[in-house]
Amino acid sequence: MLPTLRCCGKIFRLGDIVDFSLCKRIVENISHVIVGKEKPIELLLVALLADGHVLIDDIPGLGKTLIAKCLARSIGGFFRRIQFTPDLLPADITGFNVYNQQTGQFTFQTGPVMTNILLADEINRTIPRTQSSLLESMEERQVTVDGKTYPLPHPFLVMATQNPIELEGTFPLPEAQLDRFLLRVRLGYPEKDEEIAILERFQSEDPLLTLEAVAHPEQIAELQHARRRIRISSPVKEYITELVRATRNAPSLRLGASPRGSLGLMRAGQALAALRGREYVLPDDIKHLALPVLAHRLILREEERLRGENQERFLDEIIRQIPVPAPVQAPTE
Amino acid sequence: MQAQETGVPSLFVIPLMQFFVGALLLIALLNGQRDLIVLTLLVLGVMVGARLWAQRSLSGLQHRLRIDKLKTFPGEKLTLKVIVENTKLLPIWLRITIPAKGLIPPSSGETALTKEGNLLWYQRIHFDWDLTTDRRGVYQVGPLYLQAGDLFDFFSRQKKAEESHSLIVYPRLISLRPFPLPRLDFFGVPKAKHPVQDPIFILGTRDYQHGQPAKYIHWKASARHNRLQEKVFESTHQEKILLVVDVASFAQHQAEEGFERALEVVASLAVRLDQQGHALGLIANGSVVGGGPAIVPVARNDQQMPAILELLARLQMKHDGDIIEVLRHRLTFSWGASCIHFACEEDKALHAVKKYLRRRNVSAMFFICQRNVEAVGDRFDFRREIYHLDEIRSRERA
Repeated sequence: MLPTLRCCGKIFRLGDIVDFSLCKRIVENISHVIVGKEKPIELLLVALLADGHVLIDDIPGLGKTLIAKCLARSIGGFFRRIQFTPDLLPADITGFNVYNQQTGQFTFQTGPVMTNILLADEINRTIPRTQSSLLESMEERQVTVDGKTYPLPHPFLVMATQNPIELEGTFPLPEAQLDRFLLRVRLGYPEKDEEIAILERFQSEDPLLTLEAVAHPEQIAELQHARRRIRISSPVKEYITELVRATRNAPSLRLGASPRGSLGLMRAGQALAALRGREYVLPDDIKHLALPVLAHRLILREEERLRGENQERFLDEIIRQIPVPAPVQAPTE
Repeated sequence: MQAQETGVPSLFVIPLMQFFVGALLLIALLNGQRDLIVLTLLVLGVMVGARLWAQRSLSGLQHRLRIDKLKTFPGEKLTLKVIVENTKLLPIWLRITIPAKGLIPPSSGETALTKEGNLLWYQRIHFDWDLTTDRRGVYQVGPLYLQAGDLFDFFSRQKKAEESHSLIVYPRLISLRPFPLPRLDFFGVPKAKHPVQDPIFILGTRDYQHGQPAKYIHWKASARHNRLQEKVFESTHQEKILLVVDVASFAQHQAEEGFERALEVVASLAVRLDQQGHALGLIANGSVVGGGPAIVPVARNDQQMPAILELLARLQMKHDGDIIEVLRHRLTFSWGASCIHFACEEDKALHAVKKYLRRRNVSAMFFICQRNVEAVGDRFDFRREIYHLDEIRSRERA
């Protein structure tokens, strides 16, 4: 049963006002191009509904850019892509003031950040100074140029891609930047059947060229607003806190997740519950999202890094150790 | 995984005893001795029952061998855990034996870890051992031997589970004194006076400085600022460094202790250079536990340090070729790479390497462990090429 809302003497259910099945249509639309990858696509939509940003982190050739383009095209709105290169400057992202000789005034030339979906391709190929120019946009949904602040369009989603294999010629994202990504998504290799399907699908033409939008940005903004009303019980909030606090006390980790991580986990949990047609968050939603939401925010101790360990292993251990709260009863109105 | 019956020191296990009880039953039957019949039947019943019990004891037994860290540093505590679950109604007696050569203190006089206990129906127990090791190397933990039997301890069966782990102990990390990298020849340009600017990595822009080449002007930024701006490049402080260990030199002098000390320095140096963001590689002319060539090509990624440390852990003081041949045939020198070479002492082989590297325009510095170079106290002499290991080792532990 979805939450109810009293308005004009009538009782509305959340589902009556906002149609979360739109997300299902977006997933189906993306599936016209992308073969398999249901989980990464679901995570992209979680980030979209939770008003967060996504870092797609995987080896070359797995379709990172393609999946981002498909999502952008499916939800309509403005889409811009920045290819991050070593000589990219902050002003190439945020925009800059140009002196207009006719009017004698400076006019603001908007940068590619003024969009609904921003694809930051190979974000770790640019210098940290340029990477940091996205910090304000990602967190506060605004850009400040020459002391003047410009709000960004809503919804605003940054989808960044990076290749984790070779560090030569790259600038690893600083912690502050990583913390601003709600989720880190890994695509992984396709299964054999999926790979055959990819070959068949792309044999004659590129299906991306014919992909139509099935939503528009206003609908996404409504969904984001409705997502906030998804219920989250105290035991589940406590579970989130326990998970995040455990990362701060883990002996193998130098740095645990921040309160932004807890907030991110809660929002992502609400978004996943909405996507799965529920009005409340289950502990399993949190458990399912803990790895993509928290792993990239953790920093390993030096000795663990030298052992070749990764954050996912320790986080997995923490998730297994923290008891999941008993199933919550669906709240009744 | 094979199971075999083993006898434990018990009177009932002796075939002669079993024959004697059988003969006694026959006599009792012939003479109609009811009490004796009952007694012998009871004894035979216990014997057959215990044997059947022991035969079934290993079935439905699930086990896992776990070590919390498979890669470790000397002196670190490890926990070895064996989890056994009895998934049947029959309770059993169980003994676990794990060969773990090198992980048990020699003073204990044992070569295997052993523990025993009883398992009731559907019970799960775990046996834990805390281990430490002080020596670099690769240690085999396992296979796991499970011996199970009846609760009277009359009969037992043993099986060998092929479950085993290789425990890799990295060289000890020590504190090193600061020292200059062999980077006088930037990008392989001998006697270059300044760091060569890397025209790929731009740090940012600044006002154009007179005399700078026009190719460094950033036209987009100049248009934006309405004055000439030039690109500021990152200096090539991200070195490519190849660490070379001449195992033959140590093997020739039987300098096992010196070899271990050198590997400690190599490992510590690699960690330090990696933290500074340098691309690293390692090559040695020694044999490796588990086989394979002793090479980690120069690169910079997350798995580079674990690969270098693992190779150092696996390296044995058995040489497999001349170091120059190894450098010549097994490796393609990255352009601009520097070399840090470790050998036992300053000998002909070291000078040959020096000559070879000079011919290849590779800047290098050499460390030796035998004291036939004059130590210069606390400070590095930048003009020298050959140093003693003690000059880089700090007295403090890392």
